[in-house]
Amino acid sequence: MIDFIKRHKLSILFITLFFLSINIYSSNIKSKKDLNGFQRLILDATLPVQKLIGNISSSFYSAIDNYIFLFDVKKENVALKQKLTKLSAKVEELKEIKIANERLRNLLEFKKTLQNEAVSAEVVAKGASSWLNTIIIDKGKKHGILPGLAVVTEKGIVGHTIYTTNNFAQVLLIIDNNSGIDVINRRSRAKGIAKGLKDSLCKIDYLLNKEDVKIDDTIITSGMDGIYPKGLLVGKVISVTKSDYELFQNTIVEPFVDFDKLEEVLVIIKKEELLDEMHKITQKNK
Amino acid sequence: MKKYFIFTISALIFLISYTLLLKYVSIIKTKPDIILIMVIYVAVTSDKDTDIFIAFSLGYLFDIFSGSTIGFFTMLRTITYLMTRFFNMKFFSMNAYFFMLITFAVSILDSIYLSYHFLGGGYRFFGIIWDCIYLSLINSVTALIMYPLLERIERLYLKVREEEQGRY
Repeated sequence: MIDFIKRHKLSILFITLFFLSINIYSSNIKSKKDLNGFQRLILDATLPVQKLIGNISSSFYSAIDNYIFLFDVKKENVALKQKLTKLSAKVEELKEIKIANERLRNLLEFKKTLQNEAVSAEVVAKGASSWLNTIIIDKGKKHGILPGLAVVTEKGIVGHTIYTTNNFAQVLLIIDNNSGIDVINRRSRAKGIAKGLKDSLCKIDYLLNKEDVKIDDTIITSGMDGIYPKGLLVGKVISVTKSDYELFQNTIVEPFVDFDKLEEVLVIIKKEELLDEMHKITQKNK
Repeated sequence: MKKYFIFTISALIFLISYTLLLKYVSIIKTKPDIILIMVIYVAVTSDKDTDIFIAFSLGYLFDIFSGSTIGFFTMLRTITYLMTRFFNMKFFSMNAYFFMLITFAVSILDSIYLSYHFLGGGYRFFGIIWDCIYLSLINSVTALIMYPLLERIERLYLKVREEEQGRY
């Protein structure tokens, strides 16, 4: 028996680990559970480090930007140049603050227009896989963020939260193939399901051939999917292809949000779910 | 066990730096799969069957950091380890170029499976094949860049092991 195990060690290990991973995968895919304690611990322990490194590297890059052009200064101008450097650094800093201020003001104004409560968050990192479009934001359960909440900016919708830890949340972007949003055409009220496509675009599935859709039409959320509130901007139609032999037309939408330049986002909180979660925690504590 | 910890912690450090880099470098559209590269390296240089645990853990870490359903990449990277060991047994010759070549071969199979899993059948066949080849090329070039780093991690493990053996 021991000889047999020794001889087939790799196969036994492989079969055990394969079935273990299948078991983990199937239990997660069925119930769409949030992260467990161990997984949350890994993210909670590593992401603050990541955030800190991010802040340090941002300051480092801005310092390089401000000083790199001053290598060839003459000795007699050192004092003057230093003053200039400080001033230009200040100007750059102020410019950055002004841009951030404008961005945040827009976000705040947008927040006022939302009927639900919203929490602002900063993008900490991007997902590591080429096959999934995800981002990580710096707000989590502590701030009332649960899986399945809409993430938006003033330009339009970004995605929805999939996993949350105490301080962080993972967001599945609308340009991901696994994401599906119930949408309507603002002009013609034609309905469909927006799904992620390659190259930061979305396609609309189940949009009947008879429906009136034109290029540059604005697509908004219908509020029927239970995640996104009604009327949020999704994108504009950039291509419509109809075929006589197909039931549905092929519509491509370009999202309003530039996913490469995402910095701050808003997470729309559903009060009922938050109350439910708080109730669960209270019950657990009892 | 030492090898397991050294590689898992290195993978964690790689993942943290990588996801941070992706936030700043928006031109990276096709992201090389650094965990796949690490699993291939572990399989190619494997001296014990228990190294399969490293592949299992690396896949698990990738699940947490990529936002996929937990268990999916865990399963896939365990299979990748076994597949690479099979390739390696047939054509073993360890150097940077062989590592690049084996990464390309494994990446092609991996990306074909992943493209059908994530993108479904609604895409054109040649479009998918081209994307898979492109991603595999990016992975093999990254493998060439990562090779000296991984070799250093391997040497660190060997040094720890030698020191331990010397002690007894």
